[in-house]
Amino acid sequence: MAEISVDDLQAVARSLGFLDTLPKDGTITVGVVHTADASQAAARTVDRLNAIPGPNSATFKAQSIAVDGLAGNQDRLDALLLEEGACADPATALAVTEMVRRRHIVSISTSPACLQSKCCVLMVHTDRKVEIVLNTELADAAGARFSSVFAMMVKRR
Amino acid sequence: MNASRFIVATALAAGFASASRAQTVDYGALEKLFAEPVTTSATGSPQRASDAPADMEIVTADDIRRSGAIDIPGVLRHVAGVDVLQWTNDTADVGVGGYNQPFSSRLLVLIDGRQVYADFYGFTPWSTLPVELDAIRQIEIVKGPNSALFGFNAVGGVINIITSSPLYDDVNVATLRAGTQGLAEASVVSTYKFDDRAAIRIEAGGRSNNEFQTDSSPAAEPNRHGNDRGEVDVNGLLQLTDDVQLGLEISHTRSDVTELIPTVYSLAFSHYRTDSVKAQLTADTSLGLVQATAYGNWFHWNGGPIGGTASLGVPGEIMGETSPIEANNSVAVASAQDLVKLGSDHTLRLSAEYRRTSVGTTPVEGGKVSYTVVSGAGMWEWKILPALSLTNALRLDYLDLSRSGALAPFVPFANPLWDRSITEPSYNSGLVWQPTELDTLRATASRGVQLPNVEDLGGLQDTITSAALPIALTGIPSLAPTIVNNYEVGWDRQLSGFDALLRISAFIQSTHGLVSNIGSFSLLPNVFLITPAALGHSNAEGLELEIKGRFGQGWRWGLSYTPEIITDHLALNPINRLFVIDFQHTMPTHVVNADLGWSGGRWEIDGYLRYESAFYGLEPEGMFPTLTRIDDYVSIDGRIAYSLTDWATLALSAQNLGQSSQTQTAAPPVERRVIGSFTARF
Repeated sequence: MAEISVDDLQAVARSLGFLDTLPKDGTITVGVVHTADASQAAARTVDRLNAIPGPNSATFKAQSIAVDGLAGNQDRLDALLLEEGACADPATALAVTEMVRRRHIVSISTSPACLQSKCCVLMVHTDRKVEIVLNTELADAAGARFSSVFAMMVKRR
Repeated sequence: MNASRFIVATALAAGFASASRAQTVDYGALEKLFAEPVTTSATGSPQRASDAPADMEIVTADDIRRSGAIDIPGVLRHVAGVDVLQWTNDTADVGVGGYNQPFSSRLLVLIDGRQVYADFYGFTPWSTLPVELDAIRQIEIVKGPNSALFGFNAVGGVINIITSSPLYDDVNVATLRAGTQGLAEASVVSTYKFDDRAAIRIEAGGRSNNEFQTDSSPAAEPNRHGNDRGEVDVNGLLQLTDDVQLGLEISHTRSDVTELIPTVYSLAFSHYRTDSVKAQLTADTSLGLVQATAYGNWFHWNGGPIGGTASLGVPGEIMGETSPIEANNSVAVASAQDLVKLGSDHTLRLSAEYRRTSVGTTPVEGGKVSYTVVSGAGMWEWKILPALSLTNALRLDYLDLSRSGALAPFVPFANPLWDRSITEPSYNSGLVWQPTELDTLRATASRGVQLPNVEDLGGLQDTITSAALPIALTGIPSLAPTIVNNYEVGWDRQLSGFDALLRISAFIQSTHGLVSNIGSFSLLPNVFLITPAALGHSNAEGLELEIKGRFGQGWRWGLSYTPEIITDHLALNPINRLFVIDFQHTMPTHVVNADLGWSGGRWEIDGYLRYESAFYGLEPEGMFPTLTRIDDYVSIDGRIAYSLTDWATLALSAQNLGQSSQTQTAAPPVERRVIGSFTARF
């Protein structure tokens, strides 16, 4: 199972800089959502994310969250970062989208597969070329508002 | 609402309240995010450079620094497909897609969207641009017509100089330069942020140098003087509300330069003074991103060849008279646009513009020629498929021409002749297909409209009475715009194995209604009348082959070959059976650019080579210019820089390094220039 690269994490951080509904300074709390078999990968993602600068003047505070425990999570969260496979089956995808709708927080994935399961507000992927896709319906449900310039430049689904 | 939801909602609300939202484009943040430059110059909508439905180059701030140049033409001479004619130490003309000439008229130049192209003679006096190199974020070069976005005169291409944002960027740089030809220059750019909602950027600079001492004709020599330039620009950006930004800018430039005057192709010493004021309101609304802009440009020019040029473009040596030459040109522009994304696949831009240009007649004063342009435009970008997009832009300009005041003696016209209008459509259409992550294919078609300059429309009026028969030289109201049609296909390929980008494009272009400002000669009963006239049409065909990339530790390189063939179909002037204007012979057919650079530790080293095949230049001989051969040449530029500290850099750069002097145009040869600089970033 592929881990989230530092390049992808930096692109995620920069994308969050265009999310007007996030604080510009202070701490941005990110839940790294993973399946049971990806807990170690999630732990490494938490470490990487905590090591990179947040958007604007903010800093990241990441924590790993098992997708099975998402429904009962009561922690303060500003965003969800989805490890690969977190939305692989309909039940977990539903858990993520329910969290996004109920808690009004954005979900971000670096895997294009999340576009099929419609569980990510943003898909951010860097390989040969940076690709960013915005799920407008889920963004509206999350109350997420991105800067107009950013929203014009990304692909929409 | 449970406790946690309340906490989250409160936190989000607090974040929202403190957020400073980006209505204007934050080029720096977007470039970092997408790992490539971002532009609005292709369609008016923010786009990644690789997605733009136009053949364009973006010169970054790093490119500018590494060029070692002291002015913008010096930066552009390293760019594929850009032609720079360096006439004198401080003046040059820049062309895209050929057709470069003294006072090059086919390239529309803007700074942050504000026109710095001078309407009165239809050219860009580069030394008057109120911008320091250190304040430039990027220079966007759109090749081919783009009148559908920018209006009249964007026919050969558009150069939009994007400066750093006072609010998003934090640029604080001071530079001192000294060099050969007595160069002395000081420049400072400083940004002050009052909080995250208000910021101001102040830039100022002054430069003086001597003119080249290379051989020149006896007639040209008295016109070669030292060059002096000074400018100040204050640019502020204020976040009025979370959704509204207000930008205000004011600038002043003075520039005294030796330059080459068109038509007679003689050196002249010119004094320029320019002022501008601009206000721009940008609002993020439920109807889209709305922007309203208003600006005024004031342009004053006086000068001319010593030894008797009677007026702009008049061969005074023949006329035997010397008259004061002066041009005062004011431009007022008000525009509004709305940019909105409709659903996931459509972006729409609607805009309207009002423009007023007026020029006092010269050298015989007392008259004023003005025009008002009202425009409406639309752009529609349609993502047909995730990898396929079609962009169409259409613009309609309606021009209302008028004249008031006295006519020069013996000019056989009356003011009501100027009461006419011009209505012209222009369009840009572009199809972009990205079949793989590595490939971009592009096909574009466009129609651009170039207005006759205001001098040709009547701003110029002069009468020579010392001859046996009075000679009247005047602009006329009946000139039609020049129309440029361009068709282009291009392919960009990322060579991932080589960390390189390959770009191939081919274009064909036709130009109809090419105007010469001494194009018609009429022997009337009491006066010999000389007026501008359209002399015919011209076709161009060209290729651009470019590859650039990186290798090893800190190495960068580029290579381009841009052949172009121009075929003129112009009328001979009836007096000496020569062409008054010529584009077919005055453009090198083969141009090669190459560059190699390396950065490591505290060092930065770059070299640039440019080869131009032989071509002809126009030089004065009698009343009409004649062609003179300019042999093929290779010019070499370079820069080596050493960072003393994190904030201080010493650099040594050179232009035309290969020879102490070199003939590059029909003007006197250029000299090697060596420049030392000290830059402090604070």
